[in-house]
Amino acid sequence: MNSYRHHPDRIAALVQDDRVHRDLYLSDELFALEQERLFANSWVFLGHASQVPAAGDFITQEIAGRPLLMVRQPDGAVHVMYNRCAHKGTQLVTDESGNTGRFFRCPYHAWTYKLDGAPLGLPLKNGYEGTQLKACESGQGLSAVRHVKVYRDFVFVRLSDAGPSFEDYFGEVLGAIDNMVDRSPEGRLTAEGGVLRNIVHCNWKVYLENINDTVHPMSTHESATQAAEALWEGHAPDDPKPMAMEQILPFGSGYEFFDRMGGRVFANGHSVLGIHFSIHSNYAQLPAYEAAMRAAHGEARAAEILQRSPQNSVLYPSLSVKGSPQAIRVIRPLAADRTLIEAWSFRAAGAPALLFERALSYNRLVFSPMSVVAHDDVHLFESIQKGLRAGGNEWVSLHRGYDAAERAQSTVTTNGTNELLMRNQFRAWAKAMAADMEVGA
Amino acid sequence: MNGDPRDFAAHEAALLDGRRFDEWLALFAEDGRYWVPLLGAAQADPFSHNSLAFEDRLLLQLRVERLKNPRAHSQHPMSHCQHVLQASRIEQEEGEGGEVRLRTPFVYVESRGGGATAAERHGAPPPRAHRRGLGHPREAHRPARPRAGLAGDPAVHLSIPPFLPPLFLITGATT
Repeated sequence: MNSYRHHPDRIAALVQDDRVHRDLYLSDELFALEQERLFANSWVFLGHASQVPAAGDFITQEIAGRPLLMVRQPDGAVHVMYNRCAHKGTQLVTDESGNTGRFFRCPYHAWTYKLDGAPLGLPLKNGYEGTQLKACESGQGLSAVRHVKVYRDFVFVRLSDAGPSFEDYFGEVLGAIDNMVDRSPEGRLTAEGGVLRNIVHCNWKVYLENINDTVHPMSTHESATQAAEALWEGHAPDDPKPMAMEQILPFGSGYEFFDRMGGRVFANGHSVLGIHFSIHSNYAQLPAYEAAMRAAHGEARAAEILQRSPQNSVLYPSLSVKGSPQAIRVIRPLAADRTLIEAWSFRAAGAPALLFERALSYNRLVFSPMSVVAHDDVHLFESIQKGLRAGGNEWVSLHRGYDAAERAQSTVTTNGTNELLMRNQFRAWAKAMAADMEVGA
Repeated sequence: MNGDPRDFAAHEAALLDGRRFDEWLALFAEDGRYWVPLLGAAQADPFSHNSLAFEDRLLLQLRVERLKNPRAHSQHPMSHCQHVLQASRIEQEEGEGGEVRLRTPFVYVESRGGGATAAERHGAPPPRAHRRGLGHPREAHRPARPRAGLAGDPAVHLSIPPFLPPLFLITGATT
């Protein structure tokens, strides 16, 4: 251990112009450093404000290994605090979600806190007279996460005081969230229908890379797409399809389709895949909904929102957004070789129920543990994690489409099969990991 | 199958455990639905909440056809499964439509690898109990042999009770 801590040069050497070293996926030390540095210094998606609709509603979540608590205040604001009693460190709540009423009460010694974390009371008060408790951190109540941004109800946190502002960090890629939210004629989404969870035995970066990988569907999903095509054979191309077929069949599109869909990368690892069209572009039209969208947003903006259906937008390092269907995936790293993937579905206020059904259907077909599409992905992710241990070749190739000029630009538009989208992630990774790292001997 | 509807659940499980998927699919009525709700028995319907699976005949056919494709990568090595059923209870006796409602709690184990022989793959239980795979207690509601023409009524549907954690593991390589 400690081959990387205090050695920013060694970390930087793992990410070359057109390839990356296998230690990125295998090293426990790098995983620990990622938690401390990358995930603490970046803006990471915590949850959606619609998960805590009423005062006292909370959700718990771990980010960078730290237990957090998001809670709705009586005045409607959303607060994020560390889920740690000021006394001994007990987690105040351990359910995934719930309502705490008007205060939090620690189950261990019954210290209580207001919803904003301010201390409310503790038993046997007289034993603290003349002590330093009030002046000490333990007397101040719950620790707040200082850097919280609620962007159109998407709640992000930056755990470290270092690092860029929210707007500087995400920049133009926030348009992906705007597009998803503006698909509601009322400009409002709610996370509904629960969450589909998978633990995949691979490094989180293997999963995240794949979100930007358009060369794999042809070969990885061959069995599922061939079965779908065989069952749909004989139907005319414009025959109305059942929703499941509408969603599965485009996975079988050829390399040329995915190449033409285009992609764009932004500073700090973010990307949009499918800037021209995607496998989601040809869902059935809904005239009444489109009229409502025009009435709400105006002709031009409504057209812009509805015509834009990227395959995936990545808000690095942990959030992947699909504006249509309205679904997100959240990558929650657990260990160097273990990653929790969450798939959430959204309902757009003022939009027909069909849109929500599309989100449920897509998540079920493609991201459920019982999905016939994801089985092959997951098998291959786990296979990569094992294969990289083989040695012989210590490097992972990201050569496809490499152009030396890309390194000097922060925003680049490219073809859809270019591995630039992945190279861009790793460049952001190297930058965040090595930034201001103390240099040791 | 004729006779005691409680035999239906055992028959269905045996077909799955024996990888006799075409025969399993033939048990479904044309309008049958295979439903694995995320919330188990607490989930009212498949439309307002995520489900692990909610499939019509077309999707079940897709599932079965995919497994026959040599490029179903996750089937190298192939999966074995074993249902361990409790005795089925009849919850609702045969009504006018000929429908019977059964409840069959069961434990389901799925694993890959482990070097099963061809003979073991066809009929006998898996050679060793590899418990790293899908292994969750479930409960099932299954009507007896579905009959044609029960329009709008799911012929076979499974439900998982609330004690199934919403976290489902896909893993299983045991080599």
